[in-house]
Amino acid sequence: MRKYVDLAMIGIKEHTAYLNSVWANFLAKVIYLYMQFALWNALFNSNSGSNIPLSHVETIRYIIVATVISTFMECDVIAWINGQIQSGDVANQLIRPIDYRFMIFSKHIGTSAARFMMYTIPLGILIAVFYRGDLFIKDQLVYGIISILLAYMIQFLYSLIIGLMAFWLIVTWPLNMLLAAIYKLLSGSWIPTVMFPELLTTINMFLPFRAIYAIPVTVITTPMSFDNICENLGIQLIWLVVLFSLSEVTWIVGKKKLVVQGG
Amino acid sequence: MYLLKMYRHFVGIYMKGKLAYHFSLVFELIANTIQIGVYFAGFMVIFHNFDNIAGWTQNEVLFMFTTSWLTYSLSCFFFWSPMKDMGELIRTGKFDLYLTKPIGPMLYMVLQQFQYTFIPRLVLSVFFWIYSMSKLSINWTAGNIALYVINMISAFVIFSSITVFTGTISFWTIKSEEIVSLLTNNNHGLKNYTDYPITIYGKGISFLLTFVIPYAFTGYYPVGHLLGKDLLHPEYAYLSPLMALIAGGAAYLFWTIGLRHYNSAGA
Repeated sequence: MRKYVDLAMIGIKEHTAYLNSVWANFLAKVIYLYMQFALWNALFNSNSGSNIPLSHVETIRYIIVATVISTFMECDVIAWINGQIQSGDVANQLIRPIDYRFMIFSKHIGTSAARFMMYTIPLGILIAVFYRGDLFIKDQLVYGIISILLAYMIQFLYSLIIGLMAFWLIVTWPLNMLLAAIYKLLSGSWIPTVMFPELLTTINMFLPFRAIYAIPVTVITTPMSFDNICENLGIQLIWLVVLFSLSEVTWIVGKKKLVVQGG
Repeated sequence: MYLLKMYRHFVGIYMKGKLAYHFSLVFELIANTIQIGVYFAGFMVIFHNFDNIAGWTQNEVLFMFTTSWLTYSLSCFFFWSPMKDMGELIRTGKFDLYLTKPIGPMLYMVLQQFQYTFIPRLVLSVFFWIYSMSKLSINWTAGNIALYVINMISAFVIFSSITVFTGTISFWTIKSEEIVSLLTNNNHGLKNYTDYPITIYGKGISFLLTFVIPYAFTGYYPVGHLLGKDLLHPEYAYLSPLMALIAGGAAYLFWTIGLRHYNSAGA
């Protein structure tokens, strides 16, 4: 256990070593959040009578919570693995007496902890100052936190699988770039998934993306029955199991395929 | 004329270099197409539930921002890549190379490359531009066409000036990549604000987008006027050329000062 904690500490240190881009990153989040806020406010203000699946307040809560979660949810796992495979450094990592995946995961947790302190808390304070009203349903907060943890695991496993594909493809950034755009739309980090047209909702049923943002954010911000909450958490659990199995297979097959470059 | 010949020559060499890795070139183009395509898909999804935003219909908003994106893509073909790299060039000292060329460093940097990754954005913009235009009944009088064309040229100058400005900041050691990203990133850039009518933001932001970083003159004011929208300041619709002149002049001046500053640093 001790060594994984140390690895997480390394993750924190690595992420806080170059502090000069923190301001730009934080400002980017603020610019993005304000645009979302203004956009959805204007949409609701100019279409009062329409039949919209989410209410005005729920939508605003949704986009705020989604943006806050995104400050620590996103990670560089794909880039790390890509970098290590390209530089040949992965060989050094693999001979260590620690499981490679756990090592990446510990570092990922460290990075998220650093991001939580640098972005999530300041952004939270900013929102608390400027946004009047409740952001979450108090009774569902516990389930919401469980849901975020599940989403965090799903996000990691998804990134791990894409990253490990570099064992075959050598570079996965084009794949990552393709998926990033689709991820942005289908995960619900940009537009609430309940607003999707039918076709897109059907497609999304069979993809894991909505388990990363749409489900946890909805559990936190929209009132729902206990059964409904269980159903949502169940969907996340299923995806967790599916992605975990997939990552195991990718890992076992990928390790055999791996050709370390740069001797 | 000799510039055109030189540009053709340079771009020929540049594309040959890029085509050597045609796998990554094709992927870059596909990835960009998907990225921009998803943005349009998201835009459609937003308007799936809503009829209008601040009195603008879906097609009106689409027409406004594709007009702006068109000129933006064209401007980025020339200016985006060199200005994004300015910080890196100065940090590594590679900028000195450009100073030794027999033509001005700016001219050289613009001519020696062609940012083809903006082709998908241009193509998709043109597609949705024509689509939205066919859905709208715009009164295309000679005067309106002239105004529209002049505004597009102005928008090109405004976008280029802003890009040059962000690159020039690198002379004073601030990382230009971050400023470029803050302004033009597809997810969180300030430019995205002008994809929608600027009245949806607070007064401060409207002012910022009008007078400080004049993105609003590339779409909102001229197109709003053309569509007969109720604008914040209708008279601003005619100010785009003036704004372009000011922005262009300021960018030129700023670049010249930056260049002199770099020389005097003796790096």
